[in-house]
Amino acid sequence: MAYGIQPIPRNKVEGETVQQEIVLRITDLHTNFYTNMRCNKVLKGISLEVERGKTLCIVGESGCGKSVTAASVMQLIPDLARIESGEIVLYDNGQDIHIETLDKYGKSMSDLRGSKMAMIFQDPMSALNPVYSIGFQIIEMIRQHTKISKSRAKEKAISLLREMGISSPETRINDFPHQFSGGMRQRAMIAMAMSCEPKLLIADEPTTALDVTVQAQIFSLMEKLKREHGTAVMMITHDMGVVAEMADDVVVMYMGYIVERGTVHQVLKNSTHPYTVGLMQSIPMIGKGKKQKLQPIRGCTADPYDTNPGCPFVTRCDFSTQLCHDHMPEEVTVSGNHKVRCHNPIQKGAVDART
Amino acid sequence: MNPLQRKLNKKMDILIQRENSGQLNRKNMNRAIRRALQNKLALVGLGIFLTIIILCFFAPLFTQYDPLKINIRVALQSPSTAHVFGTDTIGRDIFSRILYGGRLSILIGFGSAVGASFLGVVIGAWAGYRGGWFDFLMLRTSELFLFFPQIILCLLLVTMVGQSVGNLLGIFIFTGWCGIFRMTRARMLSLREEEYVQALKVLGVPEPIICYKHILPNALGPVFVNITLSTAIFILQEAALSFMGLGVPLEIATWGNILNVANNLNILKVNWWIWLPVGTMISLFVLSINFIGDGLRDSTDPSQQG
Amino acid sequence: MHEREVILEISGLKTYFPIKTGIFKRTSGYIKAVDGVDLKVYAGETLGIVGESGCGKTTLCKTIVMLNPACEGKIVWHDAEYGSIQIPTTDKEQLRHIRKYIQYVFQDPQSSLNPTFTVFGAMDDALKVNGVKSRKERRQIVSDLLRSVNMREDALDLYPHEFSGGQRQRIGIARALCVNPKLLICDEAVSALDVSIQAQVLNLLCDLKNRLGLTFLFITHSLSVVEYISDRIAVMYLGRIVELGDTDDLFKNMFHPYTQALRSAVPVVDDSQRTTRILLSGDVPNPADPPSGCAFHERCWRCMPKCKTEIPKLRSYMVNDKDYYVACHEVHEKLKDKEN
Repeated sequence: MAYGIQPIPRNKVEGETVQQEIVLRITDLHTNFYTNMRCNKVLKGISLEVERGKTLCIVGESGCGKSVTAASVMQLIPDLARIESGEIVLYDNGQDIHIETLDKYGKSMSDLRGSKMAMIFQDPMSALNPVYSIGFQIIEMIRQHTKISKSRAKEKAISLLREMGISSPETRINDFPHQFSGGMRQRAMIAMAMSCEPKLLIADEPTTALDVTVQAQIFSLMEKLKREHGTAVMMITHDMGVVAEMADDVVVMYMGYIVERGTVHQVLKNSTHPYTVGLMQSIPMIGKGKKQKLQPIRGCTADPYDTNPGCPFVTRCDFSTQLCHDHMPEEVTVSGNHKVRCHNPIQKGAVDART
Repeated sequence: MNPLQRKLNKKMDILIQRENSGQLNRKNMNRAIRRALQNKLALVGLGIFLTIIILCFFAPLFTQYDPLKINIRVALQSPSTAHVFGTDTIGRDIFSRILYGGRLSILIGFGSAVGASFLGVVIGAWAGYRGGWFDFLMLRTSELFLFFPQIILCLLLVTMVGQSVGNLLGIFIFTGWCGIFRMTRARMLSLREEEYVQALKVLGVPEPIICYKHILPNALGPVFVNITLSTAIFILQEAALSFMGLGVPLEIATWGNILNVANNLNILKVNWWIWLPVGTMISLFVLSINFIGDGLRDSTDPSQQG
Repeated sequence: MHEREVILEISGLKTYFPIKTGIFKRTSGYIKAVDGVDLKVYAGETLGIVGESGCGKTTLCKTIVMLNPACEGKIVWHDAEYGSIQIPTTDKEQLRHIRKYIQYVFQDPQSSLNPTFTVFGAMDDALKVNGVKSRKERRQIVSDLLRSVNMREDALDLYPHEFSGGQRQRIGIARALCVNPKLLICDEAVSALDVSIQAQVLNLLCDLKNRLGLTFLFITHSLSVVEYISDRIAVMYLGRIVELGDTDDLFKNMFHPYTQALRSAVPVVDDSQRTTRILLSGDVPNPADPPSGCAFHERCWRCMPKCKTEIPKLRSYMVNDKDYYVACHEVHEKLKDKEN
């Protein structure tokens, strides 16, 4: 890929939601963290599905529980935390694997990690072991899950690095993480994650620490992987631009609840939950310059230990009623797969009239 | 599921029950204190430590004998109801000598630890913050002190300035500041890059104030833990010097001076009551300090769970 | 072109960090963080500095406040009452002025406040240095400041850990304002905050600027934020300014190839703003070993032979009756041809 302008077809046509087979289904997941002698109910009933060959973006701000969702799926939560109730089911070649029943430290779980599900993290420098070469770490990963010889594994690692766009992989395979730049480290981490052809790839803010031009490279790489390997991707992010670019389906989280979910068109263009609408109105969009008026969401997130029975967004919402204070809303269908948890979801006309 | 997981599960069940019933009667105790109280070894250490402190500093309540009173007629008596730990070669009651001696030993140990830490912190803070020639000079000086075996250095200095409690304190402080110096300097090297330090510089706050008033409080955490452990080390050092007769003048009771007679093989074998109680006392005290220090260090470690 | 007052003038600024290797710490090379920057800042404007990691935007601004030493070039502060002061300066009087008039807001709300000091304690010494003698007066000033950044006045005696990220950032802004500066440098001031809080702080900054008549130097890596807040934008690459001009003009023209690539890489929500994406090959070069000539030439699709050997100068043009600067040989040729 020499210098050149590469027009990338980015046409997620409206209405193009071909249902694929489901790879991961989470149903009513409750996860609690026990620290400081208190019980913090981080996830309060999460339900979502990830389909083959598609990207599901989980978007939310700090404290909403998006990283904990990923950690719960991979069972990477600390000792003083556990999945209280709910189901996490991985569908693999006709088998239904119930992850919530597996022991965190057991063999079945560690077999799953890497081979059926893989995760890439935000900071590649801390996720890669600095004292071992990249090649060593990838080969170790491959040989952990498949029985092949060292030399075959090395060949596979080299071809993986080449596929991820790292030039001269035969020499770079012996380099250490600190000899790679940020973008290349992330590619190396993706190579490690993809080495055993997992069905599900979980990406926890993979490009937040990277420059925007490098981010563009990583995203085009991930699109390529989705097309060629059919991997299902669950991406966690707080950047709406990333969601618009990468997602097929979106889930918006707030304080441990999923407040809105649907396809990317439904959630971003026809947002109905006041939080989603507030988010869209408070981020500066490129192209609008000084003419746009940023409308921040007033107030700040509530205390996580708050035991109020109502909707957690009620203190910041301009559309709240007494019902919102007393009862947490159930999920209602807006249209098709577009669901929202709100007593007073916003209709499209109402938003336009306000702005 | 392994036993540890089961125990944690039970703990989590209790917590969720309490949370759900709104039963949060326990005030949110400072995490460090709570964790310290949970450490059983540290609590045992604290118990022993406090017992010895009370015994030594309230000595008149526990013994009626004068530690300095010589009474040749009752010399070398083995433990009896009259003398709990017997008497020594010139008839002084050993139990009272241990109690009164404990005061001095603990004071010397603690005083040296505090003094050495103070010196080390003051020098280390500026050296770490400023760098440059001062840092270079102090670093090399501290290395010089650390190369020499500390006991030999102390011996040399004692022979030069003479034996007294004050001199011993001075010598210990003069030779013992290097460890804390290096620790504080290391902490300063990382803390001086913090953004609030840069903000203070941009605001025009003078550098000594930035160094000592603003940054230093953040670096002191490990220093306090170190003071407890240093106390133990200095007590042992005093004991070693006094054992050789080069510590506090021999008439004054300190733990090390009591041990001094044990360099006589006969006394070692026959009159065990002279050295065994003192030795045990020193060991128990040092051990208890180490337990407390370990407990403090673990409880203030933010990376551990709970 | 209306005459605007220049308050800060930077010419030929170079900040190099020596790389020390070996037992004797010999200098084996330099990290060329800022490699020749010319810049004029006008009173009352918001100048956005945008670029990716390694471009030198933070180093440039830290050199202005003397947190990093410059090794070449001049920075001159023009003050209407006091005259011109050259930075860095050792003169005590001048130093006091600079420390008062140029202030800095930092990026990370976690580490930009001292955890062992209260909010008042953080600003107390700075106010003392600036001659506010009585403690009562100092407390009054701080509580007024807190009110002006939309925080409760009783936050005075609270510790940083009792505040959220957005609140801490506002305390940081209050701290920068406590000495009444004229120029405020915001170093990625909103990047570490949640998206919904970013808008609060951005609006606060705009409001403060208008009320207090400040000038802003706003560093960010986010093009959407810089477009929203800036009057003029400077795009930096590997220690040099490659394009500088009025915000709307810059986004309309985007003469420099790097500016085009940067803009196209931004993920957008609004479909109408999507441009053909330019995928740059390779990575940003190492500032310790920059390419010869134009720093961008290895990744540039419009590279000419001249670009490999000669560093392009930042030349000024008139676009829309305003000064516009570009540092690109190909653009110079094109625009020269147009003039002829």
